[in-house]
Amino acid sequence: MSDDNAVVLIAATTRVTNTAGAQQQPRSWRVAVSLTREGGQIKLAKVEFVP
Amino acid sequence: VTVKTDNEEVDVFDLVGTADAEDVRVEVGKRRWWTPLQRRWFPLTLAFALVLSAALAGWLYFAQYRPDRATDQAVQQTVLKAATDGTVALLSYKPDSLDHDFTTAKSHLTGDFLSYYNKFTQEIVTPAAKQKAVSTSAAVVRSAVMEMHPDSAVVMVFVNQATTSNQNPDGSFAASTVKVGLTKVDGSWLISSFDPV
Repeated sequence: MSDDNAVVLIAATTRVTNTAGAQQQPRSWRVAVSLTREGGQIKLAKVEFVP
Repeated sequence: VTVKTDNEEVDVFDLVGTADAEDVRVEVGKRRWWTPLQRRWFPLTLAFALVLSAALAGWLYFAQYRPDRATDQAVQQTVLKAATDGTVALLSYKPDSLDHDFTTAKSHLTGDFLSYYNKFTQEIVTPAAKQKAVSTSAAVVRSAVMEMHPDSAVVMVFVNQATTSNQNPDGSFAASTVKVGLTKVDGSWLISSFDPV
């Protein structure tokens, strides 16, 4: 984290339903998101899945 | 017109210009309790300013500077390292060195979680690990500070764990996320809670 850049770790769960048979199946994700300040607005610069 | 005060004779019109002499007589004639203080206004103001600035400096030191220093970047690095080392020690063991592994792990723990881990490893993990020859090793791939206080912190760690046993010799691989609570005990950071997300 610096004045204009930050990296945030996120643990997220999505629920998947599809024709292949998934019914609200939970999927866990681990994501590292890089953020950059650009003209007074904070924007996503990179979304990286952590294996 | 002159008015006699305690100390001297004063020409009232010199002092007050156009003011009415009747009013002035009353004001000059009476000595109020703060009259000696009025004469020493400079040292008094100086002393007051000194006391005020000392109080301000003290408040800044204890209420601002100390907590800032106790939660700054360097401390956050220390906390992240403590959480990472503790997590790896907690989740890594081999059947032939169980006691040693758990003793090492316990040196990273404190409070209720220490007693829970002690009980859990003795009653559940040790028999199962011996019987099934469970060998597991954990690694922390990423970690970040969620909360930072002078004496406590919460860290999120991304854990990858590889486990083999005699039932599953090829091994299984698990990726998980854990919220690690830490407490500062005698100057060192120890794990006080361990909650998978």
